[in-house]
Amino acid sequence: MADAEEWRLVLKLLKEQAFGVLGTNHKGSAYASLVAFAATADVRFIYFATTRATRKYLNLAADDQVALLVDNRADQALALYEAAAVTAYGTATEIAAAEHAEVLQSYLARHPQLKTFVSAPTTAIFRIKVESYHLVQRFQNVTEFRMNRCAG
Amino acid sequence: MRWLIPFADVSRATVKNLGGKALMLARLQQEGFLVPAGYCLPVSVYHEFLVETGLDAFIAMELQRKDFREMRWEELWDVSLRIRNHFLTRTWPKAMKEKLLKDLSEGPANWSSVAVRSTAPGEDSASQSFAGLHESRVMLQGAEAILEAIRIVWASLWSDGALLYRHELGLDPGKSGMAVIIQEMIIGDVSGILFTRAPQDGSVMMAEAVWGLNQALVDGSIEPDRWQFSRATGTVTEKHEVVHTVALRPTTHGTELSPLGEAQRGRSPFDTVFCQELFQAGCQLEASLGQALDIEWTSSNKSLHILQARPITTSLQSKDGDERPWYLSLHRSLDNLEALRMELEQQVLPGMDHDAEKMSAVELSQLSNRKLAEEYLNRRGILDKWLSIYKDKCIPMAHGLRLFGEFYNDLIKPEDPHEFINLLHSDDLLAVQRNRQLHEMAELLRKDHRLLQQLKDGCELSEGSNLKGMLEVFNHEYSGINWVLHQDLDLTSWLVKLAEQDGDDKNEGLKQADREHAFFAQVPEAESGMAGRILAVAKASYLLRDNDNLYLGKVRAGVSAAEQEIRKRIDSGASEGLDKILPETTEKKVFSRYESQRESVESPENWQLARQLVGQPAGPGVNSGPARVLNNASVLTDFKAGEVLVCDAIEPNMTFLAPLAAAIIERRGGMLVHGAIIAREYGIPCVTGIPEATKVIKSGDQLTVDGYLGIVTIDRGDG
Repeated sequence: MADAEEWRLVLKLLKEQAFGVLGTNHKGSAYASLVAFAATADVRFIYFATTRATRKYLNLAADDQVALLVDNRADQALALYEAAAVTAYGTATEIAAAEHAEVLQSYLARHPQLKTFVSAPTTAIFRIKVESYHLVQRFQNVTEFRMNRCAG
Repeated sequence: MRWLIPFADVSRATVKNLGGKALMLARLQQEGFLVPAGYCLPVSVYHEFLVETGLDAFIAMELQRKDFREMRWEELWDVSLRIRNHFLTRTWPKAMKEKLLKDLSEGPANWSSVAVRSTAPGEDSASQSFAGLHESRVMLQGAEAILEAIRIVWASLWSDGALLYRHELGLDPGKSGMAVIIQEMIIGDVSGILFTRAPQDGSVMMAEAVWGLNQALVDGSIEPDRWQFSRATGTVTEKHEVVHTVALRPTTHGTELSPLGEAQRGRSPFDTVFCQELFQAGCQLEASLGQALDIEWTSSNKSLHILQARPITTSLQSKDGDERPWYLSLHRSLDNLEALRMELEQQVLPGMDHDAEKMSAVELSQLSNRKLAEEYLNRRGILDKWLSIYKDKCIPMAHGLRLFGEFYNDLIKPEDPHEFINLLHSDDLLAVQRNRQLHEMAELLRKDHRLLQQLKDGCELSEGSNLKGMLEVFNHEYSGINWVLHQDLDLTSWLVKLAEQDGDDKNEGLKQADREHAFFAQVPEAESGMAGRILAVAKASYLLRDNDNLYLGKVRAGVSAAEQEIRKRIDSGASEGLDKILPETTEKKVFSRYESQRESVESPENWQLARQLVGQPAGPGVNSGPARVLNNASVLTDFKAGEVLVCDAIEPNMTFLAPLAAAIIERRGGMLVHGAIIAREYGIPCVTGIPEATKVIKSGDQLTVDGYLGIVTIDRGDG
């Protein structure tokens, strides 16, 4: 699988894009937020940060199921077939303060300008354990990648 | 390819990458004028540094954080300080550093001392001048010191003054860049400036001179002699001479003002022969460059060196509302600030206090209408006088803080560019002292259950009682409180309220001595004297920043009392001769940038609800509580402990509320506004600079205030 063109596109999107749309559950309703993310090299985990007073933080405390959409759209009708979007599905867990330093090193390598934000005592860092990726390309082609079946 | 371009190789074609100042100096050198040897570091290197260090993203974030038009000067300074600190705390990318060190080793690193100056493209032309808005560093030795200075000069592209000026010119700060001149330092015996066409009289040249180095003249710490001579003949037409006692001289760690020796003390740095030389040089330079010039020069061993030449700016000289000169006046030297401090402490504040005392001694109710009108107008005049002095003296003194802030950040390179404020904490803040007195009285009341109950039942305090005596003293000392309320504050009921609330005075008294000790341990020995002086000025500045407003508040209280008496008579119909005497607005604005340019924010429609607002983190900590919006003085007394104070600005006279607040939100922005100072003193989370705060937040809204990040979250429920 590691050689497939589609998988390479997933890796490229996660590597090149800085922001994604995070979907959470707000008391049974969908809730979406833009977040700055960083994926681990093997893309099994994705990190993002939020302050604890936000609605998405409260949503995550109540339900850890999330979706994160990452895309490269150009917002032009003609570019529709060129756009690709990958959605990660999984569970998000707040990481303990003891782990912050290690995680922040790679997160800040991706988003150095967010240093003050992620270093504040009021900011929580979340790790999404990715269960599957859905890749959409050429408008309607959808490919699913199940991470529990992925060997490496 | 080398990065450093020697003056000899600079051509007009490279002006976009080097800036007009570099081009001018190179051209003068190429035409045979005596210009100190120098190199230029092009703008492309600045841009490479930004990209390599990721600074470009940080700067973009800072600039987009808030609409520029909504920023007050204090917020601009904060933006500029944060950007400056990003430059200082970034390490040089390895490859860039190696390349620069190699270039420097072939010239500047071997000079006995070096000056590093700005040369931003588009910086100096006939229609605009950034003179004084960007930084220079002089008397540097060795490559490392030059590398450090380059970052500081680059950072000064983002000085508050430069940001404001670019905005006024319609230039996009995000698209600007900075080249640097690295020049051999000439230690002049006499230095000065020369306008080949005097600003006020185009028929004469005008020169100014001081003994020693030029920086003292440029920053205003030494008053120069001024001579004018006819452009046609060179004949001296006017002399303005001062008594010279000091000169700026080089030291091992920079420069300092030192007393003049016997031969120079009291003598003018000018003489007729030297003036002729200046006149001739001015004529030749003007002929060579084809335009009138503003020149900085120094004379060493009888040789005249041209340090800088720029076209004389014409378009901004008499433009109404041009605040650049005022901005420039805020950059005071240490000596200047020390003198200003003396003046404020010994003359200005006692003067305000004296006038306020005189006002409070007048029994307004006994005056006839005519006398009351006279008294009111007289008080308005006195207030206007003090407001004007406030702008000219008190606001510039506040910039003692910036002097220390930059010194501290240059030396310590802290992660938090506002860390230096921790060293300025003072128990001498009048607001803190006043709050302490209030709490002492409340504590007394809290322990006396019977008296507390009597007061709650509406009984008066008995004459001669301890508390009554304390209240009288308090009322006399801090009469300014009433100005805020526009009515007599019933201090007794306020005390009852305080006594019934949390008795915890949150001012814990920080370990100031330890912080100072840690700071001085990092100051090189040669600079410790200077560091002590700068810290002393900054502490005075911090203290005066709050206290001057309290004194001004006392004067305002006097005006307000007369105003209230007039209103009372108008309301009762006994106002003959008093109609139309009250102005529609009570006070003119001191300075437009002192306020936000967008003062009024429309109330949004009721289907539009703010859920989260971003301002400036001005006091660390996080806390939640119901909002108490102070958009009307009468609600002040409704304020309860544990509420989040939301206001236009914490007037210094209102700071007695602060210790009871769960958090503070101010519309006005800045780390150095009074609310922020008081919040830090009491360890209360504080967010400033949210212009719409008092409109979109309603009293009772449940708020969470994140003073680390400057975020206010409003819990709207799911409605």
